[in-house]
Amino acid sequence: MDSYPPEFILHHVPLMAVIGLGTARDLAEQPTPTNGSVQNSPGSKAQSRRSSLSAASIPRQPPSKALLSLLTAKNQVGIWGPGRNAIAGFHVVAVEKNHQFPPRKPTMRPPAQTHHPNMPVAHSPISPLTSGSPVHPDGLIPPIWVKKHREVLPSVVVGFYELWHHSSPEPINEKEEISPTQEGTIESMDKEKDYILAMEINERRKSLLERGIKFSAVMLLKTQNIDKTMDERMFLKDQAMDERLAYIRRVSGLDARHAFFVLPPSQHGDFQDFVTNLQKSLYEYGLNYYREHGKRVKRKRSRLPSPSGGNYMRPPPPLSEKPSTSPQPLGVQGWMIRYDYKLATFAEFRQDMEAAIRYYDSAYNLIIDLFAPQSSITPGATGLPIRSKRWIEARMLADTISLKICKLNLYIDSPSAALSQLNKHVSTFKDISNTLGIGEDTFEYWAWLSKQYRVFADVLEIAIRSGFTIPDPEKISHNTTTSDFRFSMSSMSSMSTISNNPNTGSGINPTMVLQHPGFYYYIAAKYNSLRRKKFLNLEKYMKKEGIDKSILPPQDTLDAEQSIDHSTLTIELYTKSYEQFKTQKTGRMTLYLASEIANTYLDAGKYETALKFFERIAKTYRKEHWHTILESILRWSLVCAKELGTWEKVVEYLVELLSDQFSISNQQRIEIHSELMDILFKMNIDNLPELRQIVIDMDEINSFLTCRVQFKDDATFIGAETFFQIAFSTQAESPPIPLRFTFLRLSFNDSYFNHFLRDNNNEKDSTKLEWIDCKNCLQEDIEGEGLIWVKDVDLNFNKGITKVFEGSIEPKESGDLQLQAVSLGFLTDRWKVELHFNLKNTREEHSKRKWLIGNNDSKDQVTKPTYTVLNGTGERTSIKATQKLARLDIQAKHSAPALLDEYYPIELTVVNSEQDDVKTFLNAEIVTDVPSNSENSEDFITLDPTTTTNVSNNLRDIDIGIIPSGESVVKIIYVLGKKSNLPRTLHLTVYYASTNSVPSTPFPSRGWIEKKEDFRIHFITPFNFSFNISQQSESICKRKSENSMERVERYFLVAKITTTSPCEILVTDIDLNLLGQANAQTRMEITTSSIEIDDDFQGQVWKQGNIYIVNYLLELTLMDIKKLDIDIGLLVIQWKRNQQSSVVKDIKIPCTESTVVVPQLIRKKAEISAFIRIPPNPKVGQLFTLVYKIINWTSSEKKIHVNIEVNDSFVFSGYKQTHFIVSGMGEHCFKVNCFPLIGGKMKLPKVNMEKRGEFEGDEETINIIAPGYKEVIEDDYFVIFVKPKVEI
Amino acid sequence: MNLTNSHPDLKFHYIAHTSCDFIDERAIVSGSEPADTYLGLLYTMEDLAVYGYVTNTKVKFVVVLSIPDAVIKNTDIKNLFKKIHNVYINQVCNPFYNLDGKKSIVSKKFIESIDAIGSMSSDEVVSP
Repeated sequence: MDSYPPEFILHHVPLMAVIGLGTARDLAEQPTPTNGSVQNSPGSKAQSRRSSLSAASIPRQPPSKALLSLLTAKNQVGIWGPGRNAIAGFHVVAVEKNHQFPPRKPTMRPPAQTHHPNMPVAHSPISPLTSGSPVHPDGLIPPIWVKKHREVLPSVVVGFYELWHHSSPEPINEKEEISPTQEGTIESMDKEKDYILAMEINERRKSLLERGIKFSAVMLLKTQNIDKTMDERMFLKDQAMDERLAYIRRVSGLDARHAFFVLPPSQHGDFQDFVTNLQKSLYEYGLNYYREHGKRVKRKRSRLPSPSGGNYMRPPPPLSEKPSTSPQPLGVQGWMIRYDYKLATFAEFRQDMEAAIRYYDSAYNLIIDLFAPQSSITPGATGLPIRSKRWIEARMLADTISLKICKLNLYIDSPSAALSQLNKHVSTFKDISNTLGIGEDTFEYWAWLSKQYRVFADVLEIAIRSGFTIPDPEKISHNTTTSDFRFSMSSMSSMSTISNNPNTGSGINPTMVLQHPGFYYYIAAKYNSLRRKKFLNLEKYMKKEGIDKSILPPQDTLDAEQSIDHSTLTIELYTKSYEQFKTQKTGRMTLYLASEIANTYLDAGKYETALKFFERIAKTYRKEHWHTILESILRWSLVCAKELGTWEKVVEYLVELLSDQFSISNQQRIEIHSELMDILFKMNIDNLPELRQIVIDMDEINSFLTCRVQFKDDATFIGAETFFQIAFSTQAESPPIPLRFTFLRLSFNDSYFNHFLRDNNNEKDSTKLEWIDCKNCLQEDIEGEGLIWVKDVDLNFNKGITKVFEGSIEPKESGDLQLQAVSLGFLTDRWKVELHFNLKNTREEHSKRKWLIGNNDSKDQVTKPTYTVLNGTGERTSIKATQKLARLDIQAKHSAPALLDEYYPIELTVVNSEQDDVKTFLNAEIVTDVPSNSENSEDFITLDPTTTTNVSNNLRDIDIGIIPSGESVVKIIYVLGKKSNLPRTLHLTVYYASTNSVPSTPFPSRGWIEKKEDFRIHFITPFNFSFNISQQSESICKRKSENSMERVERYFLVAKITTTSPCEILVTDIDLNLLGQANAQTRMEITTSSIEIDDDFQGQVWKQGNIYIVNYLLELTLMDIKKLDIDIGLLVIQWKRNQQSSVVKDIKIPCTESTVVVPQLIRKKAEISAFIRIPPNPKVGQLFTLVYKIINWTSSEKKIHVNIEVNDSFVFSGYKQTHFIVSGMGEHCFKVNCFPLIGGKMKLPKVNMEKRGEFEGDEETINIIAPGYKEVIEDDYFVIFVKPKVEI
Repeated sequence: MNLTNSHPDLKFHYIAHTSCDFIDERAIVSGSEPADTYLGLLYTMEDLAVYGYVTNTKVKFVVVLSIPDAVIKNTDIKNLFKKIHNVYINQVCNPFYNLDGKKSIVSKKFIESIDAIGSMSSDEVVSP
């Protein structure tokens, strides 16, 4: 757009000139058009203001400057005007105070004065009739004409004047001596000054009125004019001021309402309103000015003769008298164009867009006729000579008029008209150019066309930025819309044309659909690249010998074209378009543009950038399966990569191009194939590094190979042979000639299993379906691969075949085993190329799983393979390896519950359900359920109850031996639980291995299969014990030696054993094992026991609930009578079950012993003990004596009171109540003679003994102990059985 | 299906691809309404006008016309699309045609039918 004169394309607004505010130079905004044209008077305000020295002395500078900047702030220098709704705005220029506007040429005088046919007419200096004008003699309209009206000739002039004040500096009339202090003179001076000012204004007004220019004056009041405090004599200010202002206005002859304004001093902000109001009130005058101009031009146009009148050569009548110095003065048609253009311009100035369009249109139609070889408007006239100055000018004018029409149509919201103007312009000049021989074959044509679209796009873009919206098709179109007719809100297509055509109903003329600027930028770019192509062709042509120079464009055009960087321009245009589409969120369109940009870079030889673009866009096309596009991109990329020497990429592109997704001929594919082979095997590229490695991810590109992987089974066991198949299928058309890979590598997640299959260079023909055995590989150390499983197989791939590689692995440990990647590769001296199939990502596939069955027959020839169907669908790239499930059963038989302390037999049966004979071992452990106790547990397990050494609560690695398949082995273990009757758990582990593959390493290790089983065992105690110990009477035992310090006491121990076991128990022995005493002087002996007495205690059988009592008479010898607690010993029972557990048949289980601790003997600590000796076998009527023996354990004597209660059973002799003294450490015997009266169980006469102290109340009852009897409690007393008299 | 020789195939592939954008956009706008499948003019580029049509199963048809400088009736284009749709339905009804396959249609009959539509005169198009 910059290549056109700005005057022709900028929007016009009325021009206002302001006087008295200085020039725009002060604001440094834009060059003042009047600059230099008018001499500044030396004393002008502007001059003084510019002087920095006097700047401080000028108080009104800031307001005037502020006013000027406000006025010029809205200067519209844009292509797009303020819009229809914008408030009245002027283009404001500031001119000097004494600025003289250019004189009017005489023809512009009012018609009444002008029409003097004989008078020589002066013309405007830029008229074609004026020699020296740029358009003399036959030009149309020079830009300077527009500029004149845009910037020089105002429609409204506003003068800013200051009211004189004596205190203000006197720039205007310095010569006059003014003494501010002179009284009386000030008033008269005011008047004088005001008169001068009024005359000046009047002069100005008149001179402008003559030209039809509206003049307004603005009086700027100063603070001094108003502020009373400044000067006492100004007290009448208001009134005087009004008078002065009215005077000035009157004298200058200005209209009070629209031509005379007063601006009081004020803050900056208030000027804004003033400026707005000023412009608003003068706006209509401005428009009137242009209206008048328009009318005048219209009149002139109407006086033109018809161009078809045949006198086109003759100048128009008003000009006819003027002797023509030009051989070809401007024809009538030219004048029509001029007038039409002027009319349009003035209409635009007054913002009458519709009229402007009309006139521009008319001018346009006339102007395009000039290009025709034979004018249709002016008969006989020939077109402008091609490439002449006028021709170029006219063409530029036509372009700009067209642009104006487009723009103004956008202005009035008529987008389709704008578009149709563009189409019209393009098609018209297409025809014109073609007929003139500068058409579609020349770069000039395309350059021009590209420019038209670009400018249009620019305008459209500016319009959109300024608020224009590409109309919503839904709202404009389809007056016959039916419900099924639907349009989106898309701003892409506009159907505004529809309304213009009544027939359309629901139809569209696609050429009339205005789209967003992106499209037009695209077209511009497209044509620009065509322009480049044409130019390159031309250059090529020019280099040839003997060409016809006449058809070449002028040399300067060629030179200019030479200097243009076409590609950069094209890319710029594409980029503009790209950005437009990007904002429209049409991602695919941007890809298309990116591909165009890339192509342009490619053309320009910027391969690296181009390649970057190609790579970026290729992804989407690949993903969305647009193969044709992708193929083209790949081919271009290939070109770039080759140019750049990035051979890795070349290989990659070639591999992808092999895919038969691209519909290319077989011949082309063979070319690609051989190119690839050449690069890999033959080409010796310089500066290649030692080995170029490329990994091409085949999942990311269109691959000519597909790879499918299957593990045969869903799961496998450690050590089991696990089969997998990898099927490679080539496409029906690719590779066009057999392709032989060097290696096939299988990568597992456990690199131990990685396979490396090498080509065996077998030249046999491949069949459509081939099964290849890859089992039984050998582990080898391959360079670059490490230790790997290797085998040589056939890796020759023809088109349309499937090769299935079957291999096997043996998992070492449990877990997921995954085949992660498969790579087919070439390995040459220079290259290592891998076609990498990544299997980690799940690939969607829904077909049934298939397994190819192939077998090698005896001659190592593969028989015809067939597919079988496996369970499931899709692929299976991983397999779960687990420990093999034990196929072994452990059964346990025992007769619960177990008794504590017994050898509890458990019969284990191990059943082998495996196919093979197995070698089996057993681990067993017994654990009490309370874990805290487990360490102290005395439980144990044993295989042999007869040996009890080295037993513990577990058994390890017990060899059960070899169990034949399907058979079982019985093993008996014995469990012995002690103490706690909590339930126990028996943990059993049986591990085994097939007899023909017994691992060399012990369990647990690979190869052993283990089986675990737990059993719970309940324990109960077989016996309950209770003990009773009583002291025997002292007198009964004789003292060993009276002098001995030893004391001997006798105790009677009664052990009561209750059988709680539910089963019968055979007791073989009961024994009391005395414990050794802590003190050597203390001895305990068993005097006698009931067991010893009972000689026939051999193998008693106790049943549940049976109670057996064992008595022991114990003799305690001790020195220290104060020793109180004496250990006795352990009661041990030897026993076993009466009936052996059914699981044990012929094994004799030995007796076990249950041990219980006899409670400690607690000796009494009484001061005095009393014993009674009850004679055996009393009879009725037979006297007997009860002897009470009282022992005083203290060293002091004690007094004992005795009182005997009588009862009916006995009569007794002696004191009923008595007392005696027992000496310290002495004894006393007290006898009671009793005569039994009645037989049977009788209570003895109760003897109450009391120890009496010195004081009343110091009594203590003495307990009487009768050996063999229970201790007496409360009122009870000893009961004896009295035999009745025999005689009775 | 390229029925003219004015542009290389590649151009039409690009146009078909880019028109997906416009179809998507319109499909979003039309939203849930059980609307007509004809999408109208998608865009014009250079001298080509691109029209779109979407079946209920979201199969997209794109017709590219070289622009005549005249009004193109929507009913004409709609009929054209209906014919194409019918041909496509016939193709899909073929039990041997893999609908989910990502390959382009190779049926000879389909191509012939589309060719026939392309070579129809506008009058034939109007009367389906």
